Amino acid sequence: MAAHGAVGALSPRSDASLREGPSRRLRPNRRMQRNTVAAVGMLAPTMAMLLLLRILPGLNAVWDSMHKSSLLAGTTRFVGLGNFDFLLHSEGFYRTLGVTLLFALLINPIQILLALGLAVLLNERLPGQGIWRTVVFLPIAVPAAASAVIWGVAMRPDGPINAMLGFIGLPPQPFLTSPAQALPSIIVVLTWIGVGYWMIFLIAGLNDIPQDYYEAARLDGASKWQRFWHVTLPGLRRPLAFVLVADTVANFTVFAPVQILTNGGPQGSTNLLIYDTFQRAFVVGDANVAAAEVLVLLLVMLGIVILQFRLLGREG
Amino acid sequence: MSAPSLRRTGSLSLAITAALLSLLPILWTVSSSFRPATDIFRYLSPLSVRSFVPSQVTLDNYRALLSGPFLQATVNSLLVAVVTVIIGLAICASAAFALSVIDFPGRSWIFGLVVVSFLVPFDAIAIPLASTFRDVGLADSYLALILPGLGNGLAVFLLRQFFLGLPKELVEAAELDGMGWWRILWHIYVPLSRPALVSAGLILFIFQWQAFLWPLLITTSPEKDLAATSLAKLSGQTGVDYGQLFAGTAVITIVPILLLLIFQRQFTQSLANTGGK
Amino acid sequence: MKPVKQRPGQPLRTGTHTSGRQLIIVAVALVTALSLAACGSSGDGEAGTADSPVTLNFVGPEDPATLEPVIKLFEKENPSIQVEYQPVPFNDLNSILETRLASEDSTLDVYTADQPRIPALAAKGFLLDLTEELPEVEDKVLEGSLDASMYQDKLWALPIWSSTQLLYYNKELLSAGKVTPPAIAPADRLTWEQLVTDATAAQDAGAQYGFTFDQVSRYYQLQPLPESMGGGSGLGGDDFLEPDLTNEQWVKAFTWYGELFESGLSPRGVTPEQTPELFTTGKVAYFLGGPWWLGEFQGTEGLDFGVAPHPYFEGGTPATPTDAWSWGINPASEHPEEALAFLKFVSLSEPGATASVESAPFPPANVEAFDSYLTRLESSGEGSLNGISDLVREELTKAAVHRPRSVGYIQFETIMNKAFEDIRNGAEAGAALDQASTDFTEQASRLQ
Repeated sequence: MAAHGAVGALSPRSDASLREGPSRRLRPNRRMQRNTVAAVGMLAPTMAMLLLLRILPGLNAVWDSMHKSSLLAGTTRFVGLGNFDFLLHSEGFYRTLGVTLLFALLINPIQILLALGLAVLLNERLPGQGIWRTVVFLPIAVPAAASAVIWGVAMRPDGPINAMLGFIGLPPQPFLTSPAQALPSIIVVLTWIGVGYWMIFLIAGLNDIPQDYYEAARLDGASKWQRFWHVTLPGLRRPLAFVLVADTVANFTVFAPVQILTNGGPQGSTNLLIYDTFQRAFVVGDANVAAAEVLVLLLVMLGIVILQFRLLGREG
Repeated sequence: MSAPSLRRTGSLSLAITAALLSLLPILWTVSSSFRPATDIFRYLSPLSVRSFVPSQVTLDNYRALLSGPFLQATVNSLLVAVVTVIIGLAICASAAFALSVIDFPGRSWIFGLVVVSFLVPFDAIAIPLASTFRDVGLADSYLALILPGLGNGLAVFLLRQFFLGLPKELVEAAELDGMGWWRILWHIYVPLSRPALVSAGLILFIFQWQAFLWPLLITTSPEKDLAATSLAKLSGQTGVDYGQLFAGTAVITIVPILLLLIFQRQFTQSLANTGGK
Repeated sequence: MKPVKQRPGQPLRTGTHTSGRQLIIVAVALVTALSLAACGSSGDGEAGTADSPVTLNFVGPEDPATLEPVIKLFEKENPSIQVEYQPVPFNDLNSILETRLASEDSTLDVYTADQPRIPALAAKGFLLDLTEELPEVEDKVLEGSLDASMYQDKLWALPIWSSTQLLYYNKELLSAGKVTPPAIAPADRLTWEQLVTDATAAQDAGAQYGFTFDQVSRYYQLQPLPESMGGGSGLGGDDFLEPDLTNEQWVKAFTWYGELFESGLSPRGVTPEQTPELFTTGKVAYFLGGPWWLGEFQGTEGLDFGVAPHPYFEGGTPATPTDAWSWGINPASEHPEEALAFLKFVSLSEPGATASVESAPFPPANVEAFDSYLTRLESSGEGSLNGISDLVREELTKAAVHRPRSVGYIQFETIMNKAFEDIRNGAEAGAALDQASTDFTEQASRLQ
């Protein structure tokens, strides 16, 4: 770097001025000031966007959740926790909460383990590696609504999946038409869509682990499993933390497949919180209880994300 | 040598299986896009070769689709996504750098805000946001389509995770050379972060590529439709043109794939060679 | 890079102009984009002339090709008014309308108002009161359609289209089952019981399915079932805000409905968008759907079909679905006179109404255009559809049951559709209807 030499010529003098005299007491403040100025400059555009386009509207939702607008009566009045009270007295709400938690408990480990497995598998030197990775990534590029339609057709009781099952001698399954199988079916659809996407992040993470560590472990006589456990996993801690949090949030906020395939049914077995919110806000037009529900969802997500941060260690 | 190659074969078969599972539904969609309308659901079951290979190949669906507003919509989607990635990466990388490398008061609070921001389900705040945009006269514009995609808390989070993993010695060495924060970001961190930047770019891109509700609410002129909206308009109240729907799906899917193929190499770069680690 | 002079105590600023350059680029880009965005459309409230026409923004779910004939005709006769049609996806129509109307978006002038939703739209202040036009409208449109556009004795929108349903049957599948095809005359209407018997016979003889509704599990399609038994529409009380879903006829009708799927006569898991394919690909013997399918069925090679009246329950009364679209004016519109002129043209003038159904599948609500529509319908069959005009007229004027005029209709329909789908998938009818009652009462309480 040409600049290095030029600036380097200044170093002894700048070092001296930093070490010397009365300005030494100002030193940490000066540094902080300089840091803060730079940080503000770097953060301003992003934080402006996040504040204006995510957080402030979110606060709007808090306001909405504590008021009740009746378009019929033409009034908007403050109701405090009235909307939350309404939710808590609605038996459907508990069912929704239960379904959502069950869903989260199942889908996140499944997707992350699969993504991890695929990342490890497709990061080895295999023939056609690039092709396999691209193909597995493909589903996230399909518009969500189209994916839902396609899988809806595939899982029709008279559709191709049952036909394949018949081929191997299994009876046809009800899939989306059964209260017991609908949620697992939705999980299958969402996993198909997202696993390749998360895999990409983990592959990037895998490639960040220096080969020397593996060499050292191999020289120490570690088996493949031991190398995975003691080199790969710790090395993947940060990307894994990212994928865990991002995937959890994504699974709490996705509703297109439910909207298109099951409408929350059969018998409410796929009525996820985000879908219920959407119904209330957009279809029924009850923005206030919908806002209250969004806040409940936010709190649930916040709680789980904080837990995940704790589990995976402080990130500074 | 037989054990490792057996393992290789095992791995290869697993890879092929995974690829097939991912591909089959898409294959069916693509092959259906070449079928005449009456044939699309005809061969669902019993399963036969016909289920995946059209008996009558026709380009009618593509012809109808591409003669309509769909092509413009796809171009719009691409434009919006690319601009979002370029500007979004710049501002998200800067923010992530500040949050991971620079020590300043209130840093963890700001990071907390970033985390909260990606917890807020965007579709849940889309309605009030649309009203606000309308009030300030930004409705029905490309700017309105791009803006919500620029600040992406998840991208900031990802980049911060990555930057935290780079050794502090880099910063210390640079500061000794008298480099300011912006130069450290631009000349040291960014060159080392290509895979992370591509990952963050992917997040930004997919956000816009999959966007549906926001574009629907904020645009009124059909010329500004994005691809997903245009596709949704094929579902009318008296029937869905599945042929065109599948043709459109095929087109929309191809674009990110082409982009990924181009940027594949960025992922295989290992950092083991780039000093400091 | 030139060395930067540093004065003691001043922080070294070396990276400024690089970061500055980046920021300037971004800023310029944003400003440019902003100024481009500011060149958005905004209407002015002045009347238009042929040189500077007033533009009406019209939102609806139809394919633009459907409305092209009527818009072109209107613009030709009214050179000072342009109509810009903004299509939106059908499934998202209501969300979009709610958002724009609630925010008093003045860039929305005319929109399609689903007739059963008009009470809620009117009560929310989303429709311009058109009662002044009532005398002019009264005799020109079908009575049922007019009723469907009114609420609390006020007129809120002008009726454009109506709807009804026909029983289509596949001649080949019927003859394989040795079933006598049903006659087209309303007097020879089949009972549901007879239909099930015939459909079962056709299925036994090889048809994959015996019968399917077009819009499975939708209130629009299924309301006639309990109505035919005398069980009412499901909503009662002064304002139609009290659920009446658990009476004997409702439970009986929907137990019957669930049985259709339990027995395999009708398929589960097939969405309303996919049911017509069952008929065109010869997989189902009977298909209950609107007259708008005639064009597609007639164009399907190898499909030999006939048409018959909508069935009714033995001992009950004939009941058929009806109502479709009226078009209304946004109270926040800046061009209400022009908007009204457009609506009147399509609703009240014969050329306008006929142009509106030129490529659209619905029967027009305009009385004169309705007559010519029926004539065209009959002749389109070239002999195979003789009697269809009498049938459609009878269905629309005598057998039609309108959906309840309730401000809670949207909530009701959403809940009922879910209940119907649950029953279709095996839930016990009584329990599902009980649950729907509870759910609706809860929702209705939010309306006050």
